[in-house]
Amino acid sequence: MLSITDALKLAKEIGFARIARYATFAAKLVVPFGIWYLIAQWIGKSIFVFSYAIPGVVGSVIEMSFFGSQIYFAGSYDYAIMKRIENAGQMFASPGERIAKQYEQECDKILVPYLYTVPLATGGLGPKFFPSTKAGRITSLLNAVVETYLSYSIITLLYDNRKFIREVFGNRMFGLYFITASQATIGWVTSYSVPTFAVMLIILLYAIHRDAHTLSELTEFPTRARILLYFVSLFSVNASLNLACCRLIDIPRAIKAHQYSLTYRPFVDPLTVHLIIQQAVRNVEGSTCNVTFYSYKQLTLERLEQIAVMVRSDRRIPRLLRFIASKHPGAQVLEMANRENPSLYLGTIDNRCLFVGLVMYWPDEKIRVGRFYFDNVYVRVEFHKIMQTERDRSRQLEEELPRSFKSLIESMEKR
Amino acid sequence: MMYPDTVSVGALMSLYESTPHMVLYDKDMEIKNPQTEELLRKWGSRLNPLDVVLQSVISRVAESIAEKSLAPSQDISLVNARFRDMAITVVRREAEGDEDFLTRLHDCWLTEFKTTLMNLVSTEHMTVDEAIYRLAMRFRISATSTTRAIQSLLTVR
Repeated sequence: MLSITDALKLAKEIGFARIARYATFAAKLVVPFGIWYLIAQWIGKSIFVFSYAIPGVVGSVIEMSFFGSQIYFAGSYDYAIMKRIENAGQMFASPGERIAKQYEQECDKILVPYLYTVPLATGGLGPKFFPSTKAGRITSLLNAVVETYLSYSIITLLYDNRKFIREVFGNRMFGLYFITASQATIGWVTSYSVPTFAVMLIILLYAIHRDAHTLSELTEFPTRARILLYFVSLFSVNASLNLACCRLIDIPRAIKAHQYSLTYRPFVDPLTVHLIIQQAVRNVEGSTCNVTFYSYKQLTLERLEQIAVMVRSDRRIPRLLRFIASKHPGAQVLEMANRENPSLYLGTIDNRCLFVGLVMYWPDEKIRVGRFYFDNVYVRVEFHKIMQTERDRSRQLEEELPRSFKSLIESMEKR
Repeated sequence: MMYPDTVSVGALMSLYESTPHMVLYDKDMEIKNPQTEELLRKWGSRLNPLDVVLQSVISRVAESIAEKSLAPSQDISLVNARFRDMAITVVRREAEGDEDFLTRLHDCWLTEFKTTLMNLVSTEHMTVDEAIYRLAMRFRISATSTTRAIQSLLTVR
């Protein structure tokens, strides 16, 4: 059994933010099932009529397959970018006003869709579509009704096929692989483990509250919409399955990402990246690459609208990102761009892209994250080795600084 | 492109007010540039952290020279070894012509650095890591150098 000190040490190693993310994910997955189960216990199972649920089941399957595949494509966008660099070679060989403008547009088309991937990755995309206009409120209400109906349909489908599900889970072959994990999850819900369920419920409510808080920072978010958000999320089995389905479909991409990418959190060293990637490429390929660093200094609403038009009309950008680009009000995206402050690195030899780096501030976790994608695993290994040495050196020095920014400033003021 | 024959400390500091939004680093950049290394060996140990100040100023001057040479209206900079060498020449020329130049540069740079750091207080949820990132970005130095500069502000000056 772990002692509290060991558990804290382990939690610190894993990262509290990461643990919170997984706990939120688990709560979103488990709690709505538990709530429907309690409803069935209190009201009676006669409310689950399969014929009422057929359209909902069909709708839910279509929704899951669409969002699952789109999340996969959006996630794979990093690798697709590498094949699409068209102006880097000319930009370095014979730079000029015209090619500079084209290259800038190319960078915009890479960077802007990423503004939408942060809400996708943090699972807070849905709430960002609750506008405060009258039409928006009606849409939100309709969305809540449809979402609850889809959840009801899924529960009815599960209830109607309970014998089959029991057989599947009772089967030795499936049992061997799934029964332990599934029973542990379902066990929480069905075994009246009140404290565990209560903890999960609190985590879920906190997650919804955080989503609503993020949204209220971005836009005027009416209180009634917040109540609706709480209500829908409590029953939303559909959203839970959607989330799980997206994660499952995303597994092949995640495996590839594990081999070809690196993530640094917190990322603190923007001015060393170009030297490290050049050194890494030199070590692997003999010759090195050019590096582009691109960020937004003064992004205006007008410029953003122009970029959004470019993004919407570029068929190579995943459909989901284009859809979000067309639906998101420009002012919100501008706000996101200012908060997330994204920057891009491209490592190129002529138009061959070996390296894409994206550095972005994640407001929810209050941390800057650097994600780097590599053309081949050898460069990745080399980059990681050099970066690790730099980070260790920096960390060693950083340990001598006060831990919090507040105490750093206080000690500076005393001097 | 020509850089002015004499550059004041104030003019160098004003370079930090605006940095290009796109920087292109050519193939010939190296982690350890022999010319910079020599310069740092020669002068770096005089004041703490003069080597960090010189790294920062050389990087920004190189960007500024490159900025003037390429698409001036686009706020883009193409940095290569040649521009870096030119930036080193600019700093070397000043330092060799005026004995106090490096001391003045060091003091001004640290004051500017401290002011920027103190201004971050107004930013919500600021952390030490995020402060290092922002300072490194503004002053064109590595995270290690940024941390050393902060440390030097915490020691008695």
